[in-house]
Amino acid sequence: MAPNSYVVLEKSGLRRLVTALREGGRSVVGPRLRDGAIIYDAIESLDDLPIGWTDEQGPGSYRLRRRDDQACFGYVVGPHSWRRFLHPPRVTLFRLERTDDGFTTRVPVPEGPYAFLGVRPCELAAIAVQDRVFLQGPFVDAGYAARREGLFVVAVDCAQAGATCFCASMETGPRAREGFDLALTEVIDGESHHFVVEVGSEAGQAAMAEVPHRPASEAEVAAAMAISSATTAAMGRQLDTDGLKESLYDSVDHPHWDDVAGRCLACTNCTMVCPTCFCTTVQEVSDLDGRCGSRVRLWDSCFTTEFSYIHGGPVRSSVKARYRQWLTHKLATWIDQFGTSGCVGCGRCITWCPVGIDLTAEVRALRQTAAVPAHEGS
Amino acid sequence: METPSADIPAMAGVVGEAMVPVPYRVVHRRRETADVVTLELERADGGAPLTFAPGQFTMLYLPGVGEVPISISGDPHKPRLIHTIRDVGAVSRALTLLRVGEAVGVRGPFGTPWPVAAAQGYDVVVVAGGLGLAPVRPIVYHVLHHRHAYGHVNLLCGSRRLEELLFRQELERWRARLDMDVRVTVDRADLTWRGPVGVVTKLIDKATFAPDQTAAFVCGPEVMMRFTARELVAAGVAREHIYLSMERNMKCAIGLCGHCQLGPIFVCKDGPVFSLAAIERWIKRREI
Amino acid sequence: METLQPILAEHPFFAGLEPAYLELLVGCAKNVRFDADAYLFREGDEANDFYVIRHGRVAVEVEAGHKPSVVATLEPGWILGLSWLIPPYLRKVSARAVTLTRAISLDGACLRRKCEADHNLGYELLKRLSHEMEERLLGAWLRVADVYGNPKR
Repeated sequence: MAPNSYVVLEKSGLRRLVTALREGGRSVVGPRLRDGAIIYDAIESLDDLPIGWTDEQGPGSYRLRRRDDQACFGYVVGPHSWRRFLHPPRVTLFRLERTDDGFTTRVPVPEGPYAFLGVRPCELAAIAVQDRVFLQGPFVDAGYAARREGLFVVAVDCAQAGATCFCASMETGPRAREGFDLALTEVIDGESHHFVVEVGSEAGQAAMAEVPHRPASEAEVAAAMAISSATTAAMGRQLDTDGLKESLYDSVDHPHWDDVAGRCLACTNCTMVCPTCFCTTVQEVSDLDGRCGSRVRLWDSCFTTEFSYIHGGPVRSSVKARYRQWLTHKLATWIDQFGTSGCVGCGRCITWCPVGIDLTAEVRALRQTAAVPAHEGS
Repeated sequence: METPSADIPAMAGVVGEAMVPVPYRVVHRRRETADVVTLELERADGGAPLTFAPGQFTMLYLPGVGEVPISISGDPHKPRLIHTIRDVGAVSRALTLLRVGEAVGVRGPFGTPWPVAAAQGYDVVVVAGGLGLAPVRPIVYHVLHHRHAYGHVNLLCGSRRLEELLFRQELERWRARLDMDVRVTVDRADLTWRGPVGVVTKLIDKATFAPDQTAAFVCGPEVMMRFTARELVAAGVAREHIYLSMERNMKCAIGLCGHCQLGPIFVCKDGPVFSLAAIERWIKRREI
Repeated sequence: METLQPILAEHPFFAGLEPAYLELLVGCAKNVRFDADAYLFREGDEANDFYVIRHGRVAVEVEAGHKPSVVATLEPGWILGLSWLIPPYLRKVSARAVTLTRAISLDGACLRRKCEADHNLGYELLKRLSHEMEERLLGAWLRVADVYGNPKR
C-alpha cells in the first residue's frame, strides 16, 4: 500500500471541508460543548466546535477550562463516544402490526451517512474493536454495517494527553495509524494555526479535492510527529498488558475483587462511557390495544442485577462478581472472543466513575499482590 | 471422536433476518404437567418450518410480551417444530397459555447441537433432570432413527415427583423396546411408586456402558449437571465425551447482546452444548 | 456360620475388610428375607439390626401422618440402618421391602460389643458407614434444595 500523503489545511480549509461534507449529503457529527462537557453531536460548521476550550480530567473528575489559544481540538475525550452513532443507544429493531393470522414486521432504515469530525486515535481503535464484534462474527449487525459503510472519518491526533489517558500502553495512540479517511494534527505555532493532514483513503483524497490545501513540507510533517511524540511522553497513566489475559484468568478468586467491590457502586457509568462496550437489551413497545408495536434495542450494562437473571435470580448477584465480570471481559476474555483487547486506553471509565475507580490501578493491585492459591481438589 | 463443530448445521437454518421473528401459529397444544405445556408450531405463511439439529433452540416471541430461548424438543427428522415450555416467568407463562390457532414469533434455530453424529459407534448415556428431559428428547429420537449406529443406549431421568415427569407415555414406550434401557427416579414418592427414590446420579451404576467408549449427554439444573458429570467421570467416562447443555440469560441469541457470557464463552453461539472438558473451569466457580 | 463369610466378603460395603474382621462380623450375621410390602422395621422400633442388602429394593419411609412419603430407595449393594449405633437405639424412619428382598442382618448389640472390644474393627465399620452416610446426606440435601422446583413458586 502506498504511504499516505500529507497536506496542509488552513482553518478556512477545514471550515470548507465541513461544508463540503454536508453538501455531499452527510450528517456531520463532531465535538460540541454542552452541559459542562465536550460531547458529540451534529455540527453545522466549524464554529460549533468547543474552540479555545480544554478539559481537565482525573478519577471521578471532569472540568472544562478555557485555553489561552483558539485550538479547535485542544481537549481529549468526553463522556460520549462514537458508538452512540454507529451502535445507537436506542434502535428500533422492527415495527410490528398484528394481522388475522399472525403479524407483519417492518425493519426501519438505519441512520446516516455520517461524517465524524474529531475522532481520536483511541476512538479509531474502538471503532475497529467494535467492527470485530458486529461485522466479523457468525451474525452481522446489519444496522451497524450500514452505518459503518457510509461513514467518513476525520481523525484528530491528540496534541495533549489527558490525565486518565493510557492509549500508549494499549498501542492505540496518540497518533492515528489506520481506519481514517483524513487525520489532522492541529499545529498552533505563534501566529500560525494550521492542520497537517494525513490522507488515509481514496475517499479522503476525493474530499481534499474540494478543499483548498497545499502539500506539507517535510518540516511541517516532522512538527506534527513531534507533537505526537510529546503527547506519548506525557501519558497520564500506564497499563502493563504483558501476560495480562493469563493473569486475569488466574485471578478469579483474588481477594482484591472484594476491595474494589467495597467501592464500586455498580452505577454503570463506566459501561455507558466506554467506547467498546456493546451489551444491549430489548424492550417491547406496544400500543394500548396491542395491535401495533415495536421491539426496541437499548444499551445495557453487565453491572445490573437483571443482566444475568436466570431461573429466579441473577448469576452475578454480588457487586464483586459484576465488577470482576466487566474488568475480566474488557481486558482478558475479549481477547479470546474477538482477537484484540476490549480496552483502548481512553480513560473514560476512570474519569466518569463517581468514586474514581482507576482500572490501571486495580490491574496493578491484582498483579502485584498474590492471588489466592488454588485449593486442593478444586 | 470428532469435535462437535462437525455437527453444526449451516446458518441456512436461521430463519429470516436474525433479529426479526417469523410468524408461526400453534397447531397443537398438550399439557404435560401442572406448569409445562408442549406446543407444536407451523409457519403462518404455510412454508416449510425450520430444520434443526438436536440441542438447538429458538427464541419464541409474543408481541407486547417478550421473547425467551426455548429448546426444541421435537424430532429433527420430522417437519414439525415442537417446544416444551415451563411457566417460570411472564413470557413463558404467556406461551403456556397459547391456544391452537394463536400466533407466536420464532427466530432461529440457534446454538451448537448435541454431537449425535460424532457419537456413532459409542454407547450412549443420556441423563436428564426435571425439564432437562425436553432438550434431550431429540437425541433419543435421533438415536432411535439410527439405532444400528450406536451401542448400548441408556436414558436416565430424574424428576421431583412422578406427576412432574415429562413424556411419561413416551418413556414407557421406549422402555418397552428391547434395545434401550430407560430408568426413572423421583425425589420423593408415595407408596404406590415401586421404582427408585433418590437423586438421578444413583442411576448411573445401573446403566450399561463401556466407559471408554461412551458419549454422555446431560441436561438439567446446573447443580444436577455438575454432580452427574462428576459421577460419570468417576465411572470412567472421558471429560471430552460428557456433554452438558448450559443456560444463561439471552436477549439476542446471536452473540451480540453480551448477556449469555460465561467467561469467554457465549452460551448462545459457542453453546449451549459443551463438553465437560471445555466448560469445567467456568462452571466450578461461583458467579462467573 | 461359614456360608455367610464369602457372601459378606463379596458385598461392596465390606470391600477391603480383613478376613479376620469379616470372621468377627459373621458371628453377628444371619440371612433374612422379606416379601414384597413387608416392613423391615417401623419408626419407633428398637434398632436391633444393621442390614446389608443383597437382592431386591427397600423403601425408606417417613411416616408423615396418614400420608407416608418414600424418601429414598436402597438397592442391592447398599446398606440400611444407623440407629443401632446411636443410643437409645430406636428407629427414626420406617423401611419396607418394595419387592422380594434378601439381606444379611447383623445384630446391633453383637456389633456394638465387638466394636467396643476392638476399636480397629469399629473404625473400619465407621469408615465405611461414613462414606455411605455422606452419599445419603448429599442425595438428601440435593433434593431438599429442590433444584427441579419451579423458581416462581
